[in-house]
This record gives sequence, C-alpha cells and structure tokens, in this order.
Amino acid sequence: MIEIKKISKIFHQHQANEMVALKDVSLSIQPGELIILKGASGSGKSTLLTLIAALSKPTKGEVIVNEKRVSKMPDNFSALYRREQIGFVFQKFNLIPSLTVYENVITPLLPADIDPHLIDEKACQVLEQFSIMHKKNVKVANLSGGEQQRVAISRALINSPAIILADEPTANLDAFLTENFLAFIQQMKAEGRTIIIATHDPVFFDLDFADREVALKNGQIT
Amino acid sequence: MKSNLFEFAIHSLLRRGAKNIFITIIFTLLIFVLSSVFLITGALKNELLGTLEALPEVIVQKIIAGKQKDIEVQRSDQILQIPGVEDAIPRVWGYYYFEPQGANFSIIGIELYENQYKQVLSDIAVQFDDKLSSDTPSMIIGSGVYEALLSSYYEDFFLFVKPDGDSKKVTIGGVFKASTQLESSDSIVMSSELVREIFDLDEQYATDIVVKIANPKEIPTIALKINQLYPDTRVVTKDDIRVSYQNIFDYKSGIFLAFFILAIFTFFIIIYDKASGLSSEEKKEIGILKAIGWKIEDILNVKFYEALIVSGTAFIVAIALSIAYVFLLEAPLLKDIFMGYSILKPDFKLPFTLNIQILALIFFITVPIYIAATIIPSWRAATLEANEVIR
Repeated sequence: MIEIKKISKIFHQHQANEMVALKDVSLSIQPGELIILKGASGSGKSTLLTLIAALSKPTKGEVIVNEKRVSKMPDNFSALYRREQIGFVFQKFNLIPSLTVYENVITPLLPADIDPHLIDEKACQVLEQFSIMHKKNVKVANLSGGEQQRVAISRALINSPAIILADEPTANLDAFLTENFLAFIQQMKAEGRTIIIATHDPVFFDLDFADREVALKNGQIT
Repeated sequence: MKSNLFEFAIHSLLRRGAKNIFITIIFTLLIFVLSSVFLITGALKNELLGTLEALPEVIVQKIIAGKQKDIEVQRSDQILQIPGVEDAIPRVWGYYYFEPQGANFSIIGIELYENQYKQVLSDIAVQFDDKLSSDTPSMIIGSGVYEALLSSYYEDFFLFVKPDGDSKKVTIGGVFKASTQLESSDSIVMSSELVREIFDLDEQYATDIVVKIANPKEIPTIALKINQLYPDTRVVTKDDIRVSYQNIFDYKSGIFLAFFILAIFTFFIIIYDKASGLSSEEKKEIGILKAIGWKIEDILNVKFYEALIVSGTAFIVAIALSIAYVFLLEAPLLKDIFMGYSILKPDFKLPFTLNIQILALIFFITVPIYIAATIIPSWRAATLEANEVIR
C-alpha cells in the first residue's frame, strides 16, 4: 500500500526562482490498483512519481510504501527499495545510449550479484515479451523512440517489481505502439501489480481497466 | 569482488575506448620514465658502491705543483714502518687512449708473486700466472676491452704505441670478469715490467702506493702520519672517494630531479583534469544507475575497478617496459645522461638491480592518486539526488 501524507515539494526554496511543485498532496493507493495521474505540463505529476520512487525527498510530508517511510530513507536504502520494488518508465527513457539493448536491460540486476545465467534468462524473457529481442545487440542510441521505450519498459520490469511508475509513457509513441502499451498495462494490472501512470494523453482517460483517475493542477489534487 | 560489476567496469572502459587508451598510454609513459630513471640510478649506484668496496683503504700519491707525479718506490718501505700499516704496495698503472673507440683503457701492472691490493688481481694472478709470467708479453683484459679490440680486428694481440713512438706487441692471454662491470670492463692487467715499458716508467718509480691498514679506525691517524712523513704527498682514503662518488650522484640526481618534476607535473595535469569534474554524459549515467537501484557503493565500486584497471595496467606495462629498456636495451639516451663521466671508457652493461622499495614508491605516488582522482568526482555525483542529475 502506498500512502502519501500531506507532501509538498518546493524547488530552489528561499531563492529568487523558488517553485512549488506539490502542495499538501495526500493520496492512498491500494496494492494492485491502476491510477491515472492526469494534469497539464507542470502540474506536479512527474514530481509525485519521483517522490514515490524515492528519487528525491519531499520538502514536507511523507511517503509510506508498505509501512516503510521511503521519504526518510537514507540514500542506500532508497536505492535498494527502488531495485526491489519499483519499475520506473521515465518520460525520456533515461537509457544509457552507449550500451546495447541487452546491456541496458540487465543493468538493474548487476549490483545484486545474481548468477549471469539467471540474468540472461530474465533479460531474454522481457525482451521477448516486448518484441525487442531482435535488437538485443544494437546500441540504444541507434533505436527509434518506440523501440527505446520498449527497452525502458523491459528494464523497468526485469526485477519483477510490485510497483510500476510510468511518466508520460506514450509521449514518443505512435498510435499502434500506444495500443501495445495499453495492452501491456492491462496485463500488468492482471498480474496484480500496482501501477501509477502520469500522463496528459487522453488515450488513458476513461480506461475501463483503470481503477481511478487523479487530477493534479498547480501541485494540488483537484 | 562483485564479478558483474567488474565486468560492467570493463565494458564501461571499452565504451570510452579511445579516451581510456589515451589516458593509459600517457600514464604508462609517465611511469615508464620515472621507473627507468630509478632503475638506471639504482643500477649505477650499486655498481659504484661495489667498485668502492673493492678499492684500497688508502692511496698515497705524490703531488707537485698540484699535479700528480710518479712516486719513489722506496717510500713504500718507509710507510711500512708506521705502526698499524699492514702492507704498502707500489702500483704501476695508467690510462692508455684507444683511438678507434675514443676510449681510455686502464692498464694495471701486477707483481705476480707479491701481495695484490685487489681481490680481482689476486684471482687473475692465480688463474693466469702461466700467461703473465711467460716469455711472450701477455695481458689479461676486461670484457669491455675485449669487445673494443675485437671491433678493431685485434683478436689475439694488440700493438701498444710507446712514448718514443715504437710499438709493443702484447698478446691477449685471457678475459676476466669481476664482481662489478665498472671495475673490470675497461681494465687491462699485465706484469708491472711490461707496464713500465709501455709507459716508459723508471723502475725506481710507481704511479702511487696502496696502503693496507688492519684497523679501519686508525686510517685517519695513519693518513696524517704519512702526510707528515712526506709533505709532498696526497693521502686519499676510501672515505674521500666515497664523498667524490656521492658528489657525482648528487649532480646526476639534479638531472634526475628535472625528469621527476616533469613527469609528476604532467601526471598532476591529468589528475587535475580528472578530478575537476565528470562530463555531463558521465554524470547522467551515474544518475540513471542510481535511479534504477544502484547504491552509491555500487557506483564507486565500478569506478574503482575502472581506475584500477587503467592505472594497474599502466603500472605493470610501464615497469615491464622500463626493465626491458634499461637492462635489455641498455637504456639508450638516458644512460648517456647518467653516465656522462664515462664517455672515455668502454661501454659496460647495466647490472640487473630491482629495488622493491623504489617500485613501491612509484606505485604509491601514481596508482592510488589516479584511483582517488577517478572516484572523488564520481562520489560527488553519486551523492546528489538521482532526480537532480537525470532531470
């Protein structure tokens, strides 16, 4: 269960360029729920995802995931939390361009010192699942936007995370790939994973398999 | 060691192949210059100290108008009377200029059945007595002389030109090796009689007198007594020679210091460049790794492996190259700088000397510094919020 309690995030606090990204946001998400976070650019959707993933710390309030205060975790513990529980699909993919598809996908597993055969097995499984196996040895810098996104999703899922966070996942996809992505989300939902998608793409609105839509405006839930 | 991270580090180095190969080459060159200089000076110092050990405790020379002159042989009998003096042996020796090589040979005369002032001469006297005492004028030569004569097609004998212009044919009776290259390489040993003939030296005179003293603590006192007995003499003790060698080394060390400073300066430019920051691509990569669940220590582990591979490879390759350069190739260029004083001598081989302390010193002033310069900026980037780095 994810509990967000009155969190605020202020960038450049007490400086001339101070910017309030989130203000007193509270939200409770049950395991297995699919939440659509919607709102215009700059409404605070991405910031909320990064706080849930413990990629940054809130200025005020707290984020509790499965009874752990991830917003107060020291750096090494939050890294472990991300490695074990979070699969994050970034808006700009955040792949390492000089690595191949395969190398990018296996990167989250490397610090765990898992047997290389098992790593290979898991990697091939997700690459097959997202139909990118044929580009296994191609550097991601040479892939199209849609292909890069499939690599990013493969990387996010290789750890079999319980929580999937996706930030504007269809921003770089055409209609066909968007349909594919929706099918993937439906499958993940069926597997019982908690999914939070931050988007302003109307294709996600009124999805019949989404549990809730949460609208954000100027850093607050409306 | 986490093998997956180590493998990632190797891949990471290969990804930035050109940059890392360049750094490794520069780093290898720096360590190569440093270690070559250290190896040459170490070998020379060992050689000179070995030579010093073989020198007599006291040498008495006659000095007139500031120049060394031949000394009366009978003075050795008077010196022998001084209490504490074990032996006083007149030496007959001199330098012979060998024009084809532009080198000076040291010609040393020995009295076969008398005490020798050097162990190597005693050994030669015993080993080659039949040659040296035969009716045919013979000489025993050092390996450097042998090579020099061979290169001028003197295989069995050499014709010495005497001061009056006549020549003297002397056959080569044998080639000797001593414990140090410096003392043996340029030497020619023959009977004193033959040396006198070649240098036109009167029988009443010797080049100098070597004094053996049983108790080393008495050397200064006996040296003073000899000087009082013969005010026209200069008494050179082993300590005086040691100081003179040290002066040569101090001078050579100045040149070495220049090399050292140059190498260290270049090294620190590289270090400064590395420590002053990561490229935006490297920073972003660290942010991505953190965002997908890498701990700070995982990132630093990879950076440590990367730096260790680069600096360790450079160190091992540089040391191997410098050993080959100094001891197999005889250190072309650098040896000439350090052996400046020996240009009039035949060439000699640098003896193999490997000082572990020096190697450890080179290791500690290069490898850990490079590793630190790689890790510190990565640590700075890794401790930032991942979101801040990848945004």
